[in-house]
Amino acid sequence: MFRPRIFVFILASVCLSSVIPGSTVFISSATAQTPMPRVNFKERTLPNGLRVFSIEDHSSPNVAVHVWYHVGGKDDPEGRSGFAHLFEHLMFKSTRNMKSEMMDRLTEDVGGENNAFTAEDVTVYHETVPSNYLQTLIWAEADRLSSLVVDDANFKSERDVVEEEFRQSILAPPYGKLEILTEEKSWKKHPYGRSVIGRLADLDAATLQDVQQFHANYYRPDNATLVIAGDFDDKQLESWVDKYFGRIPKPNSPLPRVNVKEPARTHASRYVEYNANVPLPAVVFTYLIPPASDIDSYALRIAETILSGGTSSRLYQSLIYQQQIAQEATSNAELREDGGLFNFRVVLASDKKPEDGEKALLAEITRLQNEKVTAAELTKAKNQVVTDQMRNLETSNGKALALGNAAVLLGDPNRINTDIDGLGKVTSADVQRVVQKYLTDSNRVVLYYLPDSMKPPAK
Amino acid sequence: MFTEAFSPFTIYHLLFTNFLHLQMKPNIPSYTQRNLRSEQGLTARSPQTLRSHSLHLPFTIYHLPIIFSLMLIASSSLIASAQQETPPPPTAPRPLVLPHPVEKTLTNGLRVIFVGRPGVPLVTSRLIVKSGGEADPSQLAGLADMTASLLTKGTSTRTAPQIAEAIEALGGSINSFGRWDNSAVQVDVMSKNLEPAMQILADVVRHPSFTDEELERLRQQTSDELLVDLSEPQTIATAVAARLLYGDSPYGHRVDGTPESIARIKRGDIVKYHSNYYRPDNVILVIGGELDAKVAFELAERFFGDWRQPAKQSLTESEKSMLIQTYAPKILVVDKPDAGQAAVVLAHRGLRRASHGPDELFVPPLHVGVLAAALRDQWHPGVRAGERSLQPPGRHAAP
Repeated sequence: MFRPRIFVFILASVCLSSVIPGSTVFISSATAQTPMPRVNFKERTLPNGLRVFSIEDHSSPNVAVHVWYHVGGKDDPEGRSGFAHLFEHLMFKSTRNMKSEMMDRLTEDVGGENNAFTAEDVTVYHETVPSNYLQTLIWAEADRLSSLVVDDANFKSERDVVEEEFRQSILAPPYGKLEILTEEKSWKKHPYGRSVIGRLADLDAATLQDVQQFHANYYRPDNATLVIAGDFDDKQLESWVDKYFGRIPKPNSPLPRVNVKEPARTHASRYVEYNANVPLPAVVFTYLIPPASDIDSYALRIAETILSGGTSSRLYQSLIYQQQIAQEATSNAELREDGGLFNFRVVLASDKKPEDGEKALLAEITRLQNEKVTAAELTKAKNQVVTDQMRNLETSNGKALALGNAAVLLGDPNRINTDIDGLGKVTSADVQRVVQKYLTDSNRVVLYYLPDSMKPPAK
Repeated sequence: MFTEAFSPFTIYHLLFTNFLHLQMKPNIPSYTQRNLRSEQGLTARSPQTLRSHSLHLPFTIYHLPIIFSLMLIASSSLIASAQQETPPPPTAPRPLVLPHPVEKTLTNGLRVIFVGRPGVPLVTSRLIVKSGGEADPSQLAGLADMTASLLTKGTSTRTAPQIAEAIEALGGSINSFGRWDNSAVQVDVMSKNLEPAMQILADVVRHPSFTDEELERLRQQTSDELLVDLSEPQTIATAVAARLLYGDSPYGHRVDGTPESIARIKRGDIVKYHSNYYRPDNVILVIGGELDAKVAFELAERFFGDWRQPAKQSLTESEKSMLIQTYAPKILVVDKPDAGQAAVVLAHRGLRRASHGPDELFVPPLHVGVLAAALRDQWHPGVRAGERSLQPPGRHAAP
């Protein structure tokens, strides 16, 4: 709860390291010749199935250690929504060799940091420490993969913590519940509809036995990807990884995977939800889009930027600046492994009607479908996306995050370098095509999120 | 980990002994929502400043020792298990070479500081005015923030949409805001685009138009933002704590104002704040990133070298510093029946920042710890180190 903000802070502003000077690639748009630093990485797989990626960079004496487990909210057991996230918390409890919260001692007490996050498709544990502590952290990560010890007392106390996190992130802020509703109304079959944070009742129902089963199912070397970025000697790294991770056996049991296919939407749906803490009404649209690895993701990201990247974007200029009907207007290409959502969210300005917000939003979508974006607008969007992409590579932690994302979610680590070409090749026609293809009437879910005071009186 | 000042015992003593003592006092005052509206303070969140999270975190790194100390107390009883293998010890530390800032002062008194950082071709240029919300007149909370925010909403030669278009076409962004003890305007761009970005930066700082139309638009937006922000228990608790601690003196109000104070701000107030405080001798320009120092200083000279001092003499000490009052400890409960969670704030006056010398110590004016206490009669175990996050991975790292 408190940490994510710190995490953003570190990504955004602490000068930790820089990219290896090397060859540069160029974005291939006619007007935007933007050099992008290339990330040189090494890859290998241990006999037990653990994939290891490393990015050597000696510009600063620190190192980022990431362990990506290919398990997320979508893998929550039936009736146990929120479980992957609850489990993430338990990974900070004791192991055979470490006391509870010892990971904090090994990182924070030496000037580093650590955290973890659970998303729909992955759970990621990450640390940034002075580089002379690398061996210690590799030992510690291997230890909690292989010898986690959870007893009933710390299971229950951690479950209370997670339930409190639910209250703080979902119940206390004004639009927290809307995030859960957005997923719930968007998915008919796929477990993405349950939300990573889950339900309080499901969390209450979780048992210690669930914990043990979940660890056995997913926390295994052949479901993990280790990413190390920063100041280390490659030979030495290899020997430490072999020593501590190499001794963990690969289980024989099969890895459970979600095989649910979300059916295509055949008609528009519409929902109205009321809640007490809604200071200004909100309107949400969601559209199903293909998996993150699909080639259309590039054009969808450009479309997202044209619509709401910055204050010169279309939604900002139209809904917030000119018409002044919205307090917030965003679009978001939410890219996921099994298929994503293209979301729009408008929080209305005071005294504006949700119908006005919906109409204005539709008008902007229609405009993008009917008219090709100009070369200047396309170049602007590419420049914005490329700058964002570069910013992600400013730190060791950022590089490890980008590489883990490419390797685990996109299925190709080289995407850390080739994405810039993919984005550069997007044309105005591509943008128009994907908007026409996915942002259709029959693929739209509309959700109004209104204050209780707008509820029609009961009959 | 702990400095003496932040040892667990000290913090415990500081916070809990006072607290327990106070709890024995009868008649804890209860504020209704309506009464609260004139009591709002601290914590800002501006939706368009994605890259400036570090500037307005409700929790800064300075708060961590306090929070952490409490966590340790809460969790110490859980620690018990035998060690079988001990962690490998660290190897020899590697030398840390920090980038070296270079500084120049222009003839008009404007300080320019450059810090090079090769690797990624990005650069940030931040103009810092050494005055912020602490200089807001007591009835005009939010004046510094509104003044700064309006800078990018029009100059004598550019409209607000033109400014946004120009900077974003470069793949960059421009943000401006007023905070405690400083106001800032910042551009973030690819290094090759710094020159046109600096031109925009200088234009908005030196030639803002402050039109009535933009003022009204910003007033409406800010008012809606406050409506959303102030529906969160933590924001309310923090605001009230600031007012209780500092009263009407600086730091007692919300740095981005209240709906009432925002309604009172007139164009004349903004023009006056700008002409009083936005002056070369009250400004530091910091440029950092992949860039040549020579280029940085050349651009600073080109765009700010002819910025003249106002006729008025330099700011006096009494204008720059002010009397800070703090008030006796008390407990206050804000009743918000529809809140999804209770927020508890413990506020204590921080150390004063030294005004001169290399050993400048920065401590924010208000030390606030928000403890995730549920609506029950004991501290919740949520107060511990491992508050993990639910956060999607860097989805912009790849499509």
